[in-house]
Amino acid sequence: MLTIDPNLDELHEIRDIMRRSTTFMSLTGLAGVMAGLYGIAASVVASLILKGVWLNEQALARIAGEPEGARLHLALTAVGALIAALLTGMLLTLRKARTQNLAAWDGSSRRFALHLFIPLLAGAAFVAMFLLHGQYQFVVPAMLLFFGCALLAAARFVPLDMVWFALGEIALGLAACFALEAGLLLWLAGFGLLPIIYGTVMYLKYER
Amino acid sequence: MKQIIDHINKCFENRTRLGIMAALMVNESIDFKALKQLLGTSDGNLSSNISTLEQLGYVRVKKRFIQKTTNTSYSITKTGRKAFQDHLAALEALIEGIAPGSAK
Repeated sequence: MLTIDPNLDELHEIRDIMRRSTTFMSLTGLAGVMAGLYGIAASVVASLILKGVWLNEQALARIAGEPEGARLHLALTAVGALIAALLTGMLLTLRKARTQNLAAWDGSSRRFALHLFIPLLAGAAFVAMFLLHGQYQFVVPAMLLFFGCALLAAARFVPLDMVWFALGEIALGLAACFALEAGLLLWLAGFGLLPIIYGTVMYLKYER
Repeated sequence: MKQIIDHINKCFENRTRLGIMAALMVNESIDFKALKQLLGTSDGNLSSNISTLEQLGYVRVKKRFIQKTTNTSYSITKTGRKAFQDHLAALEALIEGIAPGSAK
């Protein structure tokens, strides 16, 4: 005999409301895919500036010896990719929120942004310190590790399984700590390939 | 069994009130518009149920002005939190009673 328990139903409903009211529903996997594409573009530009060097012990340390112009170009490339990724992410979020008829900027997206950006800004300051001291080889591990930690802190505010993405970034960051020569390649993996894989999987899993 | 049923809160039999309490349990405060969107209910239904909860002392109402328009936000009181937790525990106990072992 099949009975539908109204009490169980009620518990499910409570759980659903609690989940929906605390997670940022409008984030889309497409934002990850786009960010990854900008990341790939940025790392290709960076390798051109560094004269095609992908895997070289001196590649990143050598930046210190590059002329001022090359360093400026590298910095502009990185900042440009970051701004493009953020803007595209915000536009895609607004668009998804509109089709879902949800407010894009509510308590849950505020919490998500707060937990993401606090570690990220701390990381940016940490990376800025390396740049100021000309320690360019440490920039990649620091970026990957802080990005991973920021994702981990923000992961519980999104319905998409962001934890493994965060752990992947941390693993790449740790690899970068011990393989400084592979910095540019690991940067490409962490800011290009991994976001694309994560974004695509999440899009196919939750949004189609 | 009698004791369990005593803890089932009649006030939460209404789905809107149940939803309001569930949302306020996990959010520091929520404004009217967000609550309406979350529960997919009408203005009238939501505000009448909120005032019921307010009269019971379960919900705190805070009104303030944001650029000349009123913004009303709600948060749960200590009494409200206790009442809802008791209600949840009673629901769980009832389910355990019906299907022992299936609900953990």
